[in-house]
Amino acid sequence: MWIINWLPEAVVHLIFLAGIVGTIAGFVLGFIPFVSKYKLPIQIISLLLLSLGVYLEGGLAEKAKWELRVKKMEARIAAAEAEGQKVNTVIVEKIVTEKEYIRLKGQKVVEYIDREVKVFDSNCTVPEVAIKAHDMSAENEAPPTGIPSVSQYENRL
Amino acid sequence: MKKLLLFCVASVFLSGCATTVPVSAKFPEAPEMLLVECDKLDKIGKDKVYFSEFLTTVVGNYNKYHVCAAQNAMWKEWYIKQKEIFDKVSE
Repeated sequence: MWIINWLPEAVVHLIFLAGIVGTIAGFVLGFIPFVSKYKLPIQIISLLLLSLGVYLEGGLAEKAKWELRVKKMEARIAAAEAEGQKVNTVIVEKIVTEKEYIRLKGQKVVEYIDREVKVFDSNCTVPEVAIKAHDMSAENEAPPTGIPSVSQYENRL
Repeated sequence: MKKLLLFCVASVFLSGCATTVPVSAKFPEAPEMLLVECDKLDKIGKDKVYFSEFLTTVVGNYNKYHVCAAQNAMWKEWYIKQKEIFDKVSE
């Protein structure tokens, strides 16, 4: 409610108080000469002030409730952010370790090849077509013939 | 005067309709390690190679796949955990 944000709290309380005082004066203290002279305007104005005061006081109470909710929400968000940061750290540590471990295992396989497979190099030749097939596969390329274009392939789907 | 009074009364009562959303949770940024692209696979790049050389390249490519798969698995884990945390806030 913008009006509550704009009006100082003291003014809201003052309006409400003026409404109460005016209503009491207008309806109960009619015997006082000044009041009896302006009875009707006092009654009308004070009732209007009282209604506005009640409305604004309600708004203030609602605002206080919202502010409390906002604070709770902010605390929850801060906790979630901290928890999220922890998850990030754990994930980064995990991925670093896992990548290192995978590389180490690969290195061991290469060492195994050097030790056990190299002896067959002299009597085992790799045909050129096998190398071509490997390289095409590594680049996700297809042999020059027998493969449809991307649009043909999409049309088939 | 009447219009001014009407405007004042309307603005006071319509002010109750104004709502603002003061707090919003932001989905966290992913760690940079997960944003790295997978390595490209190696080619033999020669017409003649020894079998062990050929096999070493194949093993290297398998290794690259395993690294990429691990990274992908971490992405899934990261997303599931962060979503869980994010959903808890808005519950």
